[in-house]
Amino acid sequence: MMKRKNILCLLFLMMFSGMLWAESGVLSYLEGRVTLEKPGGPQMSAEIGDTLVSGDTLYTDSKSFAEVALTSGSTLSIKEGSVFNFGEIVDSDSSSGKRGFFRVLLGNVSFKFKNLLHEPEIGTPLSVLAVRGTDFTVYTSPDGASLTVVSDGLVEVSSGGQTTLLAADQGVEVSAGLGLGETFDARKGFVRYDAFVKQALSRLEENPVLVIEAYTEQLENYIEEGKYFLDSFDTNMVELRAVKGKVPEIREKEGDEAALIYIGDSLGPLQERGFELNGNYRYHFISALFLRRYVISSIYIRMRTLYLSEPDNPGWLAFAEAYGDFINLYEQRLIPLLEDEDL
Amino acid sequence: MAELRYNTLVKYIITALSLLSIFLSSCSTMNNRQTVLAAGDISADLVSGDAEALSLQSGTPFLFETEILPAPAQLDALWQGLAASGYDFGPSGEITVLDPDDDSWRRFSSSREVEVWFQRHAPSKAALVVIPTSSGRLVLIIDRDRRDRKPLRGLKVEEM
Repeated sequence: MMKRKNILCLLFLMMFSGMLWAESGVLSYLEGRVTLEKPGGPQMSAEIGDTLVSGDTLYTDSKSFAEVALTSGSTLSIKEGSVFNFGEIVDSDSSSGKRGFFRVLLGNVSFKFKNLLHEPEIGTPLSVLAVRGTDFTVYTSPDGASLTVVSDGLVEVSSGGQTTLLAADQGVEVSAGLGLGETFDARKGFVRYDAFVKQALSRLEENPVLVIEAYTEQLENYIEEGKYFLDSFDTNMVELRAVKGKVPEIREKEGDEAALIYIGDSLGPLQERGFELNGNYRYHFISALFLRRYVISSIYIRMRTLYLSEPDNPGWLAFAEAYGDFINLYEQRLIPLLEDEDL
Repeated sequence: MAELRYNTLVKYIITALSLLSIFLSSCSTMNNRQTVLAAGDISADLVSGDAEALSLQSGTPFLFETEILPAPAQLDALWQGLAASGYDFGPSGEITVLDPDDDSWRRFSSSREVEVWFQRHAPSKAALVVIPTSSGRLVLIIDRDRRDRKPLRGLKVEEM
């Protein structure tokens, strides 16, 4: 009996061993104060040699800097005042079933990829970057707008159903309410992050309601799509339990070999689908959480401090109403879908 | 007989260690007067707009009204924004120190996230400090543990 169980366990491990692979990195250099947060854990001072795995977030203070060496030989440079999340997404085309997904949630991160086979995707609050080349920088301002500048190779930037392909010395900006901008000539050393942030924040102050409404729509999309994957995951689980329940019967009537074939044919695909669905709904819900934590909160800081002395200013009241709509949607629909460890 | 003496000695040692621990613990905890002084220093930094000093005293994740701020860069933006806000942060009355209770989180927000923040991130020796201002009140969350170099953990500006 025990032997049979071991065979089944081995089979499952063989089937999903590829999925256990994960991109990881090591903090190879730092200056100033850099903080590391593991999922659900406290923030801790980061040190050279710390390993980064899926779910980890790095924060750099002002006048601080961190460099991460990936297992694939690539390097990431995280500049001051940044928030960088080291994650993964489901990728059925990849042999491992996963692909690295790195989020530049705030600040300025430069990427230098060596191994083109292991290039991850990069996410900002408003865009997704598919990397086809080697050297580029992503800037994310506090209002969630992003600027991508390519120094070498190609990077495909997508946002709101639109896509553009950037070549070396080209850049593109994505902002809430305006979407993907025009491609422009840009050289890495000549793009100033502070000027980009200043411009993004003045645009926010001109029309904060437009910006918040765009994010409310994005939040709704995250929730709807995540919910779709969650419902499919639940349905898949019901099927999985039903199929699993038949294994002992098949083993008893037709023997171990028939049971193993049945597992491989019926149970395996369902397990694999469950794995994919789980990754997909978590991706959407965590993206929605990050939207609140790093973008909406930064916008709130900006607008609240701007109007702190004028609580009756119509500009503040209009923003507060739109902000309230976002918060209501977040509280009522997203929070029940998250776990306390996420918060 | 020897065993009885040994047991009595162990009991004395345990009692002495417990008392020492309580003593040391109370030494490392600010009393109300000291908490008011610490809050006064923070208030002075707000009045003078010393964003750098405030950033150095603030721990993350920081609770700013309804929002949780995990990143030091967000805190820098908060203190710079408050410094430029033109709000009069000068105390206009007596500073009050309150011990947090099970409902303290509701003073900031009614959200589940803020409730979880209080459970997981509010320091065990936290105090709510209320500073009246000319146009409302500041509510600060301060860690009374003297060893905490970043005692400021939360802030709310309440209107009249």
